[in-house]
Amino acid sequence: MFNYVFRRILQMIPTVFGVILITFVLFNVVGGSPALMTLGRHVSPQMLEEFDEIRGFNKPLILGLWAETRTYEVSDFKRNAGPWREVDGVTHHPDTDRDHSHIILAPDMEYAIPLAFPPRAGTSFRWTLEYRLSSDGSASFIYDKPESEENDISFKKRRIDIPYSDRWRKITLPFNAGEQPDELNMRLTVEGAPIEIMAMELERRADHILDSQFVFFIRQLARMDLGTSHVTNQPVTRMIREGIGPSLKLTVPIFFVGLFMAISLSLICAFYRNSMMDRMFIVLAVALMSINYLVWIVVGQYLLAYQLGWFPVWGFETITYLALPIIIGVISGLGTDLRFYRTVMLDEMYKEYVRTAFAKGMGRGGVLFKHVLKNAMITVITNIIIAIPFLYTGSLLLESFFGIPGLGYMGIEAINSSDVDVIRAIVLIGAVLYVAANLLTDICYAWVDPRVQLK
Amino acid sequence: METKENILLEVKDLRVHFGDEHDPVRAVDGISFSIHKGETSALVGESGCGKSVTAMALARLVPQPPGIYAGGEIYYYGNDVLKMSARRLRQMRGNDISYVFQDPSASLNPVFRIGYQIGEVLHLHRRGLNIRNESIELMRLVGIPDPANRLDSYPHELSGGMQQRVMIAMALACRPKLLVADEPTTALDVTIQAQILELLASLQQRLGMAVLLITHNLGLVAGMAHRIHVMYSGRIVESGFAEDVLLHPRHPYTRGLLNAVPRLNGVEGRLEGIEGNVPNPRDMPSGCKFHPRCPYRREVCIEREPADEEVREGWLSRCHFWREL
Amino acid sequence: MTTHAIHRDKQTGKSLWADAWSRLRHNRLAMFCLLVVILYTGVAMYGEIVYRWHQWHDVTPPYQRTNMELQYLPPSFLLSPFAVDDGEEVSSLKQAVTGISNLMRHPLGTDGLGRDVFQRMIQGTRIAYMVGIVTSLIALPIGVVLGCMAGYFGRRVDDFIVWIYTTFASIPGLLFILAIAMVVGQGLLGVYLGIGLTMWVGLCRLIRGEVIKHKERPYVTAAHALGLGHFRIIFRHILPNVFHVVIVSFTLFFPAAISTEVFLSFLGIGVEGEPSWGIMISNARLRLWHGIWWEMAAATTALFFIVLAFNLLGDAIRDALDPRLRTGK
Ligand SMILES: Nc1ncnc2c1ncn2[C@@H]1O[C@H](COP(=O)(O)OP(=O)(O)O)[C@@H](O)[C@H]1O
Ligand SMILES: [Mg+2]
Repeated sequence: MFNYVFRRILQMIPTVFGVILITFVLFNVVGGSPALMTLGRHVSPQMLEEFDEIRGFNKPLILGLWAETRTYEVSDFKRNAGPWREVDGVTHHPDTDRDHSHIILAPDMEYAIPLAFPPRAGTSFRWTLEYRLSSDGSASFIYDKPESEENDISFKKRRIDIPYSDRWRKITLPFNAGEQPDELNMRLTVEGAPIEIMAMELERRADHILDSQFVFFIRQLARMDLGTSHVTNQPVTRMIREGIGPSLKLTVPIFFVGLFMAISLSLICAFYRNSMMDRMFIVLAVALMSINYLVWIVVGQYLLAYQLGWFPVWGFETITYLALPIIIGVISGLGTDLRFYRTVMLDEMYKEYVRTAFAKGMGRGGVLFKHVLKNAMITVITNIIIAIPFLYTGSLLLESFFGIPGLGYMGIEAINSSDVDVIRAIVLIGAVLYVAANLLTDICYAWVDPRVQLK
Repeated sequence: METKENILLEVKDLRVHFGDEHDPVRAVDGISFSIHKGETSALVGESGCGKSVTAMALARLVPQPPGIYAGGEIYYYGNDVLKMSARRLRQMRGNDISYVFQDPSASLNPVFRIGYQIGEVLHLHRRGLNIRNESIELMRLVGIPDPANRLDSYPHELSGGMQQRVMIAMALACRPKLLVADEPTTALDVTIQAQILELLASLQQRLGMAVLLITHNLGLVAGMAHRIHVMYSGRIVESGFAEDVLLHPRHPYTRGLLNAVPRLNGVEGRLEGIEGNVPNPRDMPSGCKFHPRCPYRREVCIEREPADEEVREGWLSRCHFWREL
Repeated sequence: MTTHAIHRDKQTGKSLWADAWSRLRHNRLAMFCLLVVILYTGVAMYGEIVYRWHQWHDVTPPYQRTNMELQYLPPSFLLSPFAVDDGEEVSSLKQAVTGISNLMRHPLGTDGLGRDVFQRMIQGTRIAYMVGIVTSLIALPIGVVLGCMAGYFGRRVDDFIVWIYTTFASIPGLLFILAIAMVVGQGLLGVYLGIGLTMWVGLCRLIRGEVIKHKERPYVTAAHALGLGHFRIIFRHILPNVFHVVIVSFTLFFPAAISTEVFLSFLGIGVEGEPSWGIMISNARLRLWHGIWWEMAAATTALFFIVLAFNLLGDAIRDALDPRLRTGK
């Protein structure tokens, strides 16, 4: 028994890992920049960088040392001079071959490099430069790096030379931002002849090779930290803890009332199988399940709450506020459940042990309620347990329509405001619960079905 | 022997159909036979010829849809089973007529202990008995070792042979007048088959009940049955005393079945079945249903279905040419 | 069980499919549902033509034409023709006539921007079908190929594919779809991917189970003995025998995809600027509270009947195809 559970828990690990991987791929890889998605294009690069910094999005993806930074807007000058647009002495040279378009920096000038914001303190960077520089000229990055000696701050001039090359050449030039990077004041001096630049990129160095988004994410999860909502600025774990109560208050009654009704009706169907009543229930069930969930909610709220005034329309104050959502939840799910349990019951009805029970002289009721139901219970119980994770996620629509501050409501709000951390957390927890519920089902299976043994 | 008092159950022109009324599958299409007190009868035929349906019909056990009792009567002590009240029927099932089915592992309810399942029959028909002791007694009767401990086993914890013994114990619980054993050994290992048949034979003698043994293997019934009914495509094509039918079959189908029995003692023993398959019930041949496979087929067989013809008293054949066989 | 069935059917010269079709044809409800599905398909195609035509000619299609004067017109069958008589003056009679003909142009009334609800409903059908078809084209191949491979090759391949689909199955469905749609963005593409990439799991699981059953069958052994390649065996020999699973899955999948699209559009993820049923419901929701019900009614009824038809048809097809369940009816 213990061995079995232990082994099943081990087997859960790949699945949980898979779920983590999928959420990671979904939000960190596919989604482009979560910061942009969340905050939009109208905020300063510095704010985006802060967003990324908090969430580890400014690190290399899985492995690596160098990651993009928003300090300098990456530009390949294909269309225009990019960040250099406003800088005096810089001209954009469009080439017939778009890939060879470049900017030209006139000689004998010093250019302040158009950084979006000062680089972060104490970090290493590197420039990647694709350029052309004739032998007549020279160019170098120059920056004043403040160095404090006791109370005295002095500036040391640092210089990185760019070697000349009359063909397009790519080099990387590492440098260190000091303790007070706003004093960094980085410039590019060009002497003798112009320098032509085809691409220019600034990358930030991660602390070590494992200092990546993925590791950051895993470590965050290991700390049971699910991130921070950028909308409410609250830790997501706290939001979830607050939301789960209202969600359960809604979903648990829906689930059990629905289950009870579905099983009772399915037993009636099985008892009177192939009769008029059975057929009527089946048509009813299919009709019920063909009505969209949305329609149940919209029309139910309009008719029962607004028109007839039987229930409150919106809010979460007393129990009465839950009544209508629960009714709608039960009815909208009833069709599917009834059909499912009827199939389960009828499947059992055609088993051979049922014939034996009849041959013993048992009545239909006895066969149904004793023999069939006990066998069907195996399926019912597994189904109950597997539903647990869905109880947790709450009901997205019901909650947001009726203003029940649960996880479903939170989820919809998060989707609307692109609150990455919240969605990611709800998805993750839901998945982990599902995996756990699966384990629990297997154990319960062995518990209710004598044929199954945990080995 | 052929007196009315000796007859326990009489089936007259029974018809059981499946599916919708307009285009039914005629699984049992007008069969008549009787079962005598204390006798063993055998119902023999290939798979799909309607043996199980016939057997189930005896206690009106064919599920109703999809089954339809399309005609005929089944007299049990003068009462028509097909017209009985549900209450009377329940009293009869398991008490007067009981069943042993083909696949014991599927026929026992997997989630109840076997003690409970045996006791259930007693609980239904014999209130007031000490059910536990009685169950142990029954299990001893059918040769289950260590019955007191076995009571608490689940069916899957027993071997196939033991499961079938449990089925038999259940069937015998109320000392029925008729035990219907529907291919009781088909699902079992060959070695176990003989044991179970032996058990049935000895119990039949000891308890003096009638047994209807259903099988597709004529060889099995040779030593056991008093009477044999050979079924083909929902009809009885030959019926009579075992020695007559087995030694001088008067229907080509019976011959074919006999040839299909592997003879272990004979040197020339070879497995010779009947060519072809049982006809599709949705697509029955004209005339004699056996004609497409019959080596003695003639024109008339295709045109006209033969009627029951009496070979001798109590020996019927449904072949135009039974005389020539 | 099935080999037997197929075997026997071959003898009588009837394939499993022909057999199922003949059974289906006798089911009047199923035939009616099939008719409804065909009707919707026709409407969707008409919608597509209208859409393309207007795009080609670069004119605003009627379902986008706003006209504030015709705001909130009720369905024309509700308008009494005698209403014209109220216009006493002769000059206004003409006005009334044009008014009436205007009204007749909107059989199901207009919405808050004076757009024709009927036309929008047709476009909604078009979008629903697009979603149903495209997501099926994404999900069914993934499910079939992965399911076949897992079932056929077993071992490592099986472990890997089972791992993938357990992982996918673990993630709460609707949220997963929402998240994918949100991350991918870009209107319908996000919807396609969201639904398509999550809904293959069930089919994959079913196909895998069926293939495992068939792998041991004599005909597969025979194919091996003939030295046929794995892919030939999978796709030419096994797949046709398990294809009924795909058909049944499709009939369940299609209405589910349509419903999900409605849901996503309703939430404002998905189609933009085009009249999906979800958007119609979303727009009509608040107007419903002012007693303007026809837009809501149009979208929900259209949605209801297609989903119902597919559900009933799916049941009938399953009953006709699955020999095990045949006795059940
Ligand atoms: N539940 C059922 N539904 C439909 N047809 C059935 C059912 N049970 C039996 N039949 C039909 O009755 C025929 C005879 O079946 P059965 O009596 O079980 O044969 P057997 O002689 O092998 O016991 C079968 O060919 C089948 O077509
Ligand atoms: Mg049988």
